Amino acid sequence: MSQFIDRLTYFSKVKGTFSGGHGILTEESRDWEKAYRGRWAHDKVVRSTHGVNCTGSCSWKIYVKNGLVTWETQQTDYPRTRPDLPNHEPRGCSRGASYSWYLYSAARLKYPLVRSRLMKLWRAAKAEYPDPVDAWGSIVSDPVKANEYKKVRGLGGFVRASWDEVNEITAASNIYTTKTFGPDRVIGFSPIPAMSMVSYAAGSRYLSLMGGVCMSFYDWYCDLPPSSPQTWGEQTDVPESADWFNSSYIIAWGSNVPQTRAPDAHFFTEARYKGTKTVSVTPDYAEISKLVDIALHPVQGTDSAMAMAMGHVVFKEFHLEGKSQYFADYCRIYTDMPTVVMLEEKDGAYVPGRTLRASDFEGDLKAGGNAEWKPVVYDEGSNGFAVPDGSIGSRWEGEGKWNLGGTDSASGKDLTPQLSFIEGRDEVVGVAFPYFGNQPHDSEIFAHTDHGSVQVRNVPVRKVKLKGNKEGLVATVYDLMAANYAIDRGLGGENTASGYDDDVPYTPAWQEKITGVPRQRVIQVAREFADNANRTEGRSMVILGAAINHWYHMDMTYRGIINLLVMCGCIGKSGGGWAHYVGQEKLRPQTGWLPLAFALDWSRPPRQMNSTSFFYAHSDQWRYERLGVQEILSPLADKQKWENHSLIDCNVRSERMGWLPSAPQFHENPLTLAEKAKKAGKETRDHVVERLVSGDLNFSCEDPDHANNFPRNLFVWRSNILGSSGKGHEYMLKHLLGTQNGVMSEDLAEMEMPKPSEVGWHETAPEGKLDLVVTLDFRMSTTAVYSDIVLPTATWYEKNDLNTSDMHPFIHPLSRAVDPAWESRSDWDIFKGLAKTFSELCEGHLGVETDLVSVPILHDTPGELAQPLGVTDWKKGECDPVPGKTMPNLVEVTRDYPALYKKFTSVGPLLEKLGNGGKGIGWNTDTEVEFLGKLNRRVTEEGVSHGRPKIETDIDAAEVVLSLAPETNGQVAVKAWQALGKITGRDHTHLARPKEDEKLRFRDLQAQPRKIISSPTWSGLEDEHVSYNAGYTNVHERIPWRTLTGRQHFYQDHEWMRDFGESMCVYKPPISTRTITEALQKRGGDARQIALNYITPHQKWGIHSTYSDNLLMLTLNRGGPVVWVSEIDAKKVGVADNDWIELYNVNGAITARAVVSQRVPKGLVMMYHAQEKTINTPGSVITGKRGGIHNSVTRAVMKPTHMIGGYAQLSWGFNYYGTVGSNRDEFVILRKVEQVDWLDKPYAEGQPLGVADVEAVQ
Amino acid sequence: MRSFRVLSRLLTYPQAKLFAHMDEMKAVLVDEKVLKGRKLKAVTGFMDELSATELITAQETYVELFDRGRSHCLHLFEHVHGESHFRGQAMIELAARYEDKGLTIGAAELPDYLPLFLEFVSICEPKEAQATLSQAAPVIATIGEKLKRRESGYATVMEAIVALSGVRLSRLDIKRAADAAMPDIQTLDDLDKEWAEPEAFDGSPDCGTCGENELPALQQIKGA
Repeated sequence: MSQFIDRLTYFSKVKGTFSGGHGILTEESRDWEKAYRGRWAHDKVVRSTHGVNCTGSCSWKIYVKNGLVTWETQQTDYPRTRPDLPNHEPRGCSRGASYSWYLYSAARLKYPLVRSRLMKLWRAAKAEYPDPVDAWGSIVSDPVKANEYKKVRGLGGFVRASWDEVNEITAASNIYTTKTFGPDRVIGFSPIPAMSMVSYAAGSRYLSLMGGVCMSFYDWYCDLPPSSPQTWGEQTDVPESADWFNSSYIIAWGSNVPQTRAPDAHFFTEARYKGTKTVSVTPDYAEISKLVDIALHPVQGTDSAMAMAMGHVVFKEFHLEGKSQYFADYCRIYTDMPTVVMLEEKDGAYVPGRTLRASDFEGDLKAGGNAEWKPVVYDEGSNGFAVPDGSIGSRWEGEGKWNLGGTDSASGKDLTPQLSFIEGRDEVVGVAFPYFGNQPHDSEIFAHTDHGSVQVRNVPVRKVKLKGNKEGLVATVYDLMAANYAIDRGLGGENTASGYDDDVPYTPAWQEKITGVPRQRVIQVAREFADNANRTEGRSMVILGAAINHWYHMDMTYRGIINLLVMCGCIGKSGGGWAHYVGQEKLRPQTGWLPLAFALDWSRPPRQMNSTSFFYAHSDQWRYERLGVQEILSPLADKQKWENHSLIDCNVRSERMGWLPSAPQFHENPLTLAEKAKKAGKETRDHVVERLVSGDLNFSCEDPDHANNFPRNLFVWRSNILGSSGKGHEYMLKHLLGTQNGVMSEDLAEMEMPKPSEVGWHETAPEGKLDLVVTLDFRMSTTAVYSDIVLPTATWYEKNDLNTSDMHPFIHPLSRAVDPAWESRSDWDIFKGLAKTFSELCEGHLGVETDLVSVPILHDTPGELAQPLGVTDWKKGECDPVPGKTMPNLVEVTRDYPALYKKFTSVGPLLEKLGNGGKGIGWNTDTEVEFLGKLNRRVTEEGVSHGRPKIETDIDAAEVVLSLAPETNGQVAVKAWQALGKITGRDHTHLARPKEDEKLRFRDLQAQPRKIISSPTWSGLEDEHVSYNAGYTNVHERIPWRTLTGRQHFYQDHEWMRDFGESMCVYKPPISTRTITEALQKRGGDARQIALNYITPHQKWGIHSTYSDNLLMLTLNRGGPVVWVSEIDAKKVGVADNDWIELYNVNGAITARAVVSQRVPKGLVMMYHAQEKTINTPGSVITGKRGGIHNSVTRAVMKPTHMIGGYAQLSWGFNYYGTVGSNRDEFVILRKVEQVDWLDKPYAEGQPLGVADVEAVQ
Repeated sequence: MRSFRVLSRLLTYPQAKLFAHMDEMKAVLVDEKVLKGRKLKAVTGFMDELSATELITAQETYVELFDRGRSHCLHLFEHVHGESHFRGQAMIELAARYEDKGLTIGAAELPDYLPLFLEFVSICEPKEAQATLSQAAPVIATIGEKLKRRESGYATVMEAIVALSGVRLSRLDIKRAADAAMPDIQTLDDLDKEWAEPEAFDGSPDCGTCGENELPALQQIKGA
């Protein structure tokens, strides 16, 4: 045997193990690799994103093979942030990754659907009336026919229809409604344009050309923090998430970043690696708690007590005791702290009144025009009162003096405004402050203290000589704040604290009783927060969210926190500030989008409505109001003045005085008003004013239950208004839709409560006000289920659109990776088709008509200088009725109805005639329109649009936005900064010059997400050197805030603010909604049950980047609606985890499974927002109807201070200010459901609609 | 076989045209004789029943049964892959089979839509037709069982298709599959079981790209 021959030279034997047994050789099949290889094989990759209302706004790669979407992955080509900052990637979350199978899922809407009963009626009517408009009229004017289909809304029974047919029905209905009742009876609801702005614009353009109404969403969702406009004159301008990394102290206050802001949460974690200290504030053990150094757990809804105590510590140590020169300098220049406030005598003490104005002095302090709008300070240099530049008065004077240069508007010299009068005071007087923390709550969860309702504290004051030889006492906001925080300054008197352990509001010891948070922790966090801000010049940040904004008195929590930030000089500073991320409200190319969306290129003004007031009135939630105005009034207010006022009365007054908008507007069709005036031989405006004064014509809001004033047609797109956004869901079902509902509340008459004094009362409330509900969606949402017509839309991978967010500076597209599946169409194509049918069918019914549009006094227009010194109501004869000044403006708009389609599909001439702009700045935009004519080409057909640039496709529409907006067109940015420079008298163009030639086109965005260009529309910079942070240009460019003083406001001096005790921030406990006692008595029976506070936070498995009926996400949770309850409370009523439970109160009932968890504190129950009632929801034992959605136990309750208008920053703007739909003060009764009934039997004719009826039958 | 065409038409959204051609369609079934005896009678019975229904009511029923929700969805892969990422690849491969025969989808439909699939089967040679159909039979049988439980006449069409596939399925298995599709979940363990996913690459055919695009065996049919 020869080794040489036999030994293997080239091979060795396969060994089972190697490396001393650490390695092991396996011989498994590698067939599985084919799966990966096959998966990665595709024809093309297309960029798109998801638009549920997600601030993530993440770019995704959509893989397409053979015309089918196979899957999606996260995009990885974002531009890098810059050195020293982490990149934005990786972005995207599991919710986004689960999206693609909506496309082909059985849940997808595939064909236009029409309620079959309506279809039968329609076809019969069409056989009788050849004209579709007459046919529609024959159905809805016959109560029997109308009721036939309205009462089965939500109960199934759809048939497919062709696009021609649905367009015909819808257009006929719109035309009939416009002709018979008015275009302001056609309303549309679509939220969050930023998530798909072209799709939003499609519907709003159609409605605006018609004269229909676009409804706000931000306020209605209660994501809008009214404290933002109150303080800054701006709505939700916030730092991008990358700026968290620049912070060295972050408090996440009611914001669950890792759960609800998943793609941005990494910045929070990365900041910690850098050494940033983090604190969380949540009532439960929320996911954010695991990412922080200190977790604070105040009782839900009491956050403002803790914020006040922190303010007490910071103001005392850093301001009064002078620890921070930085804070003092910042506050002197950038806040209203030195502003002087008049004191009014009341019951032996003084109360803070309105701010002192130039007009109060003889000769107006030589301040020039608009003297009533120029607040006064005391100048240390000249030892006298002076008027600083930068107030709202100088903004609209047009003299180029609107800036924060700190100059005297009379002399132009530098001013040193005095913060405190304590040194040069003339006197010390007792000033009364309201205290609300002594109000007992129905539930013992919310503790109260025994301090008096009126707290008199000593304040240093100066005497001042006023016009007409009057003398007055005045104090600075700074001194009033010190007293409001109850800090002892050695001025004697009562009700102040010299130490933190004193039992005086608002000390750390005092808050302990209310919030349950140890005082030491409050002191520690307050000190650290301020100390960090002092040492870093403002790098302390608060990320705050819906959790604390959804309470009735959200303003107090927000202002409590904002006070901390402003007094520590954190606003407008990198790494500092107020980071409120709720609702993807930041539509970056806003001024390019507005003309497209509201057809401002063809007619102005558009009709816009604040949704909270609308739904409160028209779904009759006011008929069940249990909160009286007297309960929330300040103990210092004149009670008589507010006698006989209910909440809706306040809203009526507000509309009448031109504060809030009105829709529908008047008791009569606005298309008839001009004609009537003509007959009377008068100008329309004068004639309408006369008729309003005489009472011959009324506002619709004065009688919302009169058939003349019903909203008639409702469009819903990109929204689930009746479901996840339907506060007072059951009231909507009952009154707007006229179908089965779970309302159990008695109305005002039944409760024997006073009825509104300004609103007509009908013994029986109307049911089924809406004649037609049209919903566009790609899934059968709760709203779609209740609609009459459901139109299948393209998904986010089937249409071209634009998407921006406030959390990162990029703009990127939604792209048509594949054609819309089945019969679906993009929103743009749907509304375009509708516009075409409308134009064709309106012949013979509507021609060229004169519409009269009532417009409230708008923020950021010269009109906001309307009512400077007090509130007067023309209806009561307290002032003259002057449109645009003491009442809504009345503007005639010509509507060429047969040309609606032509206008829809072209850029109108008003852009050249009137220019473009926004937020009070305007510029010429001829060049851009000219350019669009070349890019999109011009219309060649005869008619109104002949020669105008085309807007045929969704890409054309996107190009209109991109070309007109400063954020995406550098040359417009330069023009915009120039225009602002004229108002401020300073040159700002250096902010955009380097990017003047940068112009973003739709295809550029498809190539890569692009950073937008800095524009004066926003207060931060998009720049290579700083991260976007709100207020940055205010601080660094000395551009005033768009407020009364031009500074950040601690003090709110409007009469209504003072009457409701909110001129300064205070603690207000949650309100008692009184929804459970009656329910318990009448329906409780002897079941084991418990009353709990009900909140609706955001979930992990749906919202924001996908919907909660997504099967993959349901799989990760419990497959249907769930409610989280504490172990303690669950035990009390014998509920185990996963048991079926029922929650109810007088508003309605919900059925769901219980999640029993230690996460939840006792006394609280949480139901994640936006769980569809279409999934796995059995019947409710209490109502006998299907268990509701999370909104079934809620009812909107409005707050009068949100109705204020006509007053500088407190003037209305769409999604800017207004009443909000708060819902977290609510209580429910929880009990176990023993017998689950799925109610899966077919509808039987004659089934009762309401709960009361069920009882009658029994 | 034209009988498949007829069955395809019967599963399409009912329009006036369908009603107008009902007799003609019946004649095809009777003449072709591929469907026999009780099955044939059941289908023609359903056709009579459908004809006697007011069109709009028939449409309403159709939307309720087939356009809403997963239970009787006529897209076969809904029952096999659900919302899994494999569905896209499976559809692509099915479409490739149509293309092999020189067919491309001309309507706004997906490749796994049952009436479309039946139309494809109808142009196949009988043997090939049966082989193709046999792969889908378990899914179709399960949909049929669910329709039967709702006392819908459409069940007869499903039963006819299964009969024509020549596959013999155990009644018990079909019952189980239909039960699984409408689970009575009462405990967390039930829930976990219901949602347990197979391992990603355990060699099961629920992997659109692993190999031959076989339609799945009965066990793989997803409940929903």
